[in-house]
Amino acid sequence: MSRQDICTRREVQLASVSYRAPDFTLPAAPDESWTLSKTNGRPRVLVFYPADFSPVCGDQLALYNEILEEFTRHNALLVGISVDGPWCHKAYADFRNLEFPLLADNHPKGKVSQLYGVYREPDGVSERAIFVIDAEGIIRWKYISPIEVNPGAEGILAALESLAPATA
Amino acid sequence: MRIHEQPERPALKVPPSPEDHSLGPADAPIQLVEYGDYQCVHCIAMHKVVKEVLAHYAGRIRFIWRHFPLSKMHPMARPTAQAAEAAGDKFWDMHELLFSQPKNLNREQILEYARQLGFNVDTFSAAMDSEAIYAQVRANMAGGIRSGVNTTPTFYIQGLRHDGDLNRTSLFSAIEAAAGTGDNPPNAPA
Repeated sequence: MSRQDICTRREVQLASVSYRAPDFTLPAAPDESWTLSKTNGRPRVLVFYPADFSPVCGDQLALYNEILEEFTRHNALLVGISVDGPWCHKAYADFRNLEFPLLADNHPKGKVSQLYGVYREPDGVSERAIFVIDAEGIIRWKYISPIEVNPGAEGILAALESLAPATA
Repeated sequence: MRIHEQPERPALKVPPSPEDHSLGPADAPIQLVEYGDYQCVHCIAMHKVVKEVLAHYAGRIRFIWRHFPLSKMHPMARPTAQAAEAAGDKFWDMHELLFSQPKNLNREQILEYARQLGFNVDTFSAAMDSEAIYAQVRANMAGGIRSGVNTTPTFYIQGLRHDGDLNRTSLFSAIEAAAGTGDNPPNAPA
């Protein structure tokens, strides 16, 4: 399958999705958890990615880390989610100086990724997928990228801008 | 629910302008834009390739450099970008110097480059740290984000993002495919 075929298929999936974001709780650190519904009141950006320390993931998360203030301007919270465990996330976050939480979808493996329909069963990892959820908990934008392609930030920022104007 | 689609190959959202740092004729048939970071190993590697591209297509290519410093990963990324901006008319001289000794980049080295280029070091240091210079770098980054920059370096050929590999063969091939000059890319230097 070509990359174009994959993208066309993904866009069809994207257009058919419309639902309240499933609530979940995941570890954000070895002794700390993060619950989606507890952050209601502000936009959320969920970034599912295949694995800590993989090259494309590094670029993608490094980019978001660099432009965190762009998300903050929209009062948005950004979290990364993969099937790696909390200690692995800690090592990765320290290595990359990441300043946003990485959630461990490792037990049961891929539980939340499956809930959001972005678990790659044959590979045992999450898709490279992004969900923008509004302050009330409604998914307003979803994008599943070809797994080897860094989707950048433009789509996320456009989605956040459509929710509410950014502060200066 | 509003659906936002993401294009397969993002286009440059900030077109080339006189504000850009550019090499080559403004109306050149080949337009190459690079978003880069002076401390990024891939940018350092591709710097040599870009020089080769510019030499091969001399007179037919316009090259623009825009800053995209990943400063949380590369501590000298932003100071170097700001040093290049602070160099003003000597931007390209500073650009070359910043790429010349990538392993030794620190503030003292940057200021030594400024001295070599004839700047008063104290004046240059203040200019480099100024809000105006920082704003220029941020403006480059903001345009890059809007254009779909997703790593460094990110190249745009004829206004469309180059999604191929970051190597000599891929960049020459992509330029040929986009610009159709009919050239055969030169052999790699021995």
